[in-house]
Amino acid sequence: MAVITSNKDGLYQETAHTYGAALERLAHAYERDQDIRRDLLQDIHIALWRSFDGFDGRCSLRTWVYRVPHNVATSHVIRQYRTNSRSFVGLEELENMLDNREARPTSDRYEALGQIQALIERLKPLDRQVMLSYLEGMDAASIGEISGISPGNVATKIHRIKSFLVRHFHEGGRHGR
Amino acid sequence: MADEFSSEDVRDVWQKQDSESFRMSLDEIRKKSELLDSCIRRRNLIGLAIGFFEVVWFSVFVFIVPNLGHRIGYFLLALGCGYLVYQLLLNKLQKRAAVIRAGEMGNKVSIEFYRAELGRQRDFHRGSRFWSRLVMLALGPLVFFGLAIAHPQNDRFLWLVVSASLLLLLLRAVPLNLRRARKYQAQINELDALQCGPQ
Repeated sequence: MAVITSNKDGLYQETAHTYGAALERLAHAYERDQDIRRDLLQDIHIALWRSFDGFDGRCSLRTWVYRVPHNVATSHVIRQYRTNSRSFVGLEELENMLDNREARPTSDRYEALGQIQALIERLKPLDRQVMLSYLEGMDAASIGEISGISPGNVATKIHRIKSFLVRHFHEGGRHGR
Repeated sequence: MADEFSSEDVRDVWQKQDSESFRMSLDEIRKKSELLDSCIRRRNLIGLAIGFFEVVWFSVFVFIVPNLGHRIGYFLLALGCGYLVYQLLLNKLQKRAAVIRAGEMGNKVSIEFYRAELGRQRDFHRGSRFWSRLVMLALGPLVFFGLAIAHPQNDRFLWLVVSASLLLLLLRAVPLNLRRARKYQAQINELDALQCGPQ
């Protein structure tokens, strides 16, 4: 039991050290309010720590570490959705919405970051997960393994994300010249 | 970066954003984890206590009122309330169980986890769980409504209004719940399409 516990603790510490910043970014993408975000981040860390009881190495640690927080955050989003009646959109709808709106010029990193976060906040949980995973530098296979979305659908979504990110910020940049 | 962002630049901006350096010590995590468990236990106990109080409250009338019809009505009201609390509690427990069984969360791909969450919510609003809840809640008011019609008394009007209002509320709940269930089902269908889409 002591071995299991120390293994669990060790895995958690390793995870917190390696993925701590990524988990913060993930929480940021799921919750704008600072206090609630802190609670969400705590829930994520607690869930991760507890989850290592069941970690059997069938998937990589990285996959595990991204699945648990996304699932916790998804629960959080569903709860928020029920209480606030917020409506989320899919990538396709977001693309159409952006098409109908003039891109705001920006060459400023902070402003760009704000715009990315505003875009992510509007997305449905799974599209949000794909977008976040893409921004974290994952490839289609990893995103598929974590999310369970078929490879073809992941590829389509990434293509869509890339195209509208480029269009949104590229066109914004041109306007800004 | 000049004036334009490529998709790689956007990734770079995202990954290099300021961090709040959130940390939790193992002790802190253990304490919070225990606190979470005790909160859930307490909340479930409170839910049970409220349900128990409602059942007792209506059950008392079963023994107080002289009229047999009213006794049956109160008994059915108590039963309906108890059943509603049981279902609410079950729903909450299932939801919390999904979160607490964090070990399974890592084994479950996100789409399955999300689907299970939506399925649980959908089932609360349709199917046997919904209809049984509706029938159990309607039985008591139906008896009172019938009694008010069949046995004119001084307080007939009040009974009529109260029981008819309750029945109307329950009727109104049918389309609202079914609409919500359809909404969840539509989201589940979307997920199924994503999972079984092109390989």
